[in-house]
Amino acid sequence: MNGKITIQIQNLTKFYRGNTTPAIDKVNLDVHEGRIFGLLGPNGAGKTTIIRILCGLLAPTDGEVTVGGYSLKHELHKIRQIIGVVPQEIALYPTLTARENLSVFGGICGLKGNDLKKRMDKWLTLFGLVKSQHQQVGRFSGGMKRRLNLIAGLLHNPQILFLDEPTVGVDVQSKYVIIENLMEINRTGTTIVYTSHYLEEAENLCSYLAIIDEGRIIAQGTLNEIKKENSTESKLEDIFLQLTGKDLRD
Amino acid sequence: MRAIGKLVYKDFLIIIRDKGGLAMLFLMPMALVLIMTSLQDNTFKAINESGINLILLNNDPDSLGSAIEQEIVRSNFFRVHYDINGRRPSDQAVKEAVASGRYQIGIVIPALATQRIRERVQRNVMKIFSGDTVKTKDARDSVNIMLYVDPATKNSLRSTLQGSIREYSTRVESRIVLNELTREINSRMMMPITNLNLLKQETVYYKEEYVARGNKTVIPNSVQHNVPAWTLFAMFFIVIPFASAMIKEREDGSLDRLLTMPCSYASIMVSKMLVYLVVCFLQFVLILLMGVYLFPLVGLPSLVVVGRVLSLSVMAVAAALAAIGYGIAVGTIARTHQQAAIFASISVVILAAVGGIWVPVFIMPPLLREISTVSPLNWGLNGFYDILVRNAGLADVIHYGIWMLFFSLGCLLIALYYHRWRKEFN
Repeated sequence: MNGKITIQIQNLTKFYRGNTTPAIDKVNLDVHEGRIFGLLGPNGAGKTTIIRILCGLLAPTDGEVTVGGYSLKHELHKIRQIIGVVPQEIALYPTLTARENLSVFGGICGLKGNDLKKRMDKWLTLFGLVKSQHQQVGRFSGGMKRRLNLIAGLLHNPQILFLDEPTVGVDVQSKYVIIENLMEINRTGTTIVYTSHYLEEAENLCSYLAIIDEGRIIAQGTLNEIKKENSTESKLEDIFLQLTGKDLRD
Repeated sequence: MRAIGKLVYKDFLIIIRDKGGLAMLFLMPMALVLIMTSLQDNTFKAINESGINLILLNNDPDSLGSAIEQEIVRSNFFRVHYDINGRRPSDQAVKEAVASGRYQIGIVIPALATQRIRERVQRNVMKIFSGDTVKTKDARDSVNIMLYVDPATKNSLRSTLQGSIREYSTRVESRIVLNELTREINSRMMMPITNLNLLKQETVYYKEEYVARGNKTVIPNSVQHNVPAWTLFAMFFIVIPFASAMIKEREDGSLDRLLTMPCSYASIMVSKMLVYLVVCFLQFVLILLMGVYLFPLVGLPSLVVVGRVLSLSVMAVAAALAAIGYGIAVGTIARTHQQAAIFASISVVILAAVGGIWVPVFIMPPLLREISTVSPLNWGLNGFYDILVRNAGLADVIHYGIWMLFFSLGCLLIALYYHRWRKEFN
């Protein structure tokens, strides 16, 4: 399945202030429409930096990026209208209820009236949060927050959804619901860019993978392509360790 | 526009859900204004209503001692005491009583002070009439009135008292000179003249009037002076919760989430400005209502705002925008809550100090006077004073409001520039 390229990254480089080594070093990536693209790597490899650049939260030091056909440099306002972002942090307002949070984020993305209400009802039901929808988010469990965090990013049905470790710290049940719904969203045409430390999860979910280490892409392709390239039939975790080594990372 | 509506809704909910914070936003400024106004009012009353304890040891029952005593009693500045524990004190006891802080001022008038002045005058008059030149005074002519001052007493009070005592003694001395002259002239002339004591016939008077625009007379009181000053000070303290709210939003990732949506950093800031503007304006209205209705109930003069509400409101909105703009700049640039809280609180205190909130600008050193002209609190204070005590209209003070709006805009631009810089270079 090779749809048209929806995210194109060419020679992307990012130096953080005061650092002489790049966080991202001349990365080239194409993400095709309709894929679940897994961006994997050890701690500090540069996954979150790439996601933050693609969302317009960080400016690249060098390189060209287009998202949904729009130039990151010149058409960020258009990119913001077609993307959804689920950050690693629980980026919700704890003193607002679940519904109020969704109403704010959905409203900013242009949803209103009955459409907004229907979408909130649908996703709160799918993620098992209907009973708690009028509770302040600060009183939610970690799993509930994580699920709501996800809804806030996909409520407006974005063309491209960025997920930065969406299942970190949640129980098996919550993880199952999240993965199931992500696959459903993808089936409706949303391209998903996903980072995770959970390689088994990535193996099951992603149709295309890229492994990044020390700011460089060291492998990319479908799981089978990566296995073939590394002449192994091992699990993704073994290939990952083979490529990135066993040294501890900060 | 819809995004701003939703952002305002969100910021409004966040503020009203924090009941404790909300109560502090309104009650603390009111408490500050009430306490500071009461303090200033009581200080004023203390000076005017015999509040300062003075121990007087008058060893000269003649003209000089009596005159000084009478004038001190008549001045109503002091609560005058003549004994310590029911006993007439010695010079040393007076000194010790002041040193212990029991009395703020101690005055000892030496024995035979008037007699000594009189003898000196007599000698001098005799010399004048016999054609001799008057020599410089010798030690025995000196009369030393001792003024003991508690170090905690303000310098201004000490200076005032010194000046007053000098005036009383000069008046007594002049009277003695004229009496001696009269006596000497009468002894030498065939036809006696009446007493030359011309001092009783005062011909120069002064009249004091507080003048304001439009030939109106305004009687300023501690409330008219203190309410605007401390209201402004309190209003600027909104910088701390404002900056803190911004940093919290940045730290928990909600700001980043908003920035990936179709809304700009400027619209996020404008939303906060609108919500906090309402908070500041409500603070202002509550303080005005307190000044008008509550102050008289606690023995303070009432704040007079009749006919000035519109002008005051415009100035309050401008001051609130200046404070919020400053909060946006601090909240954007500070990296942590600690940085924001320390910088915001100290910088607001400094801006208030140089702005004339605590001491009037005209008594500041020249450099600080120059600096005060760039403090937004000084612009706000001048605007409020012009309206409340100089009877100025909106047109007379609008330039202060415009300066504050420019200050706010400048802060907003700095914040936007810094935000962009951080995105580019971090």
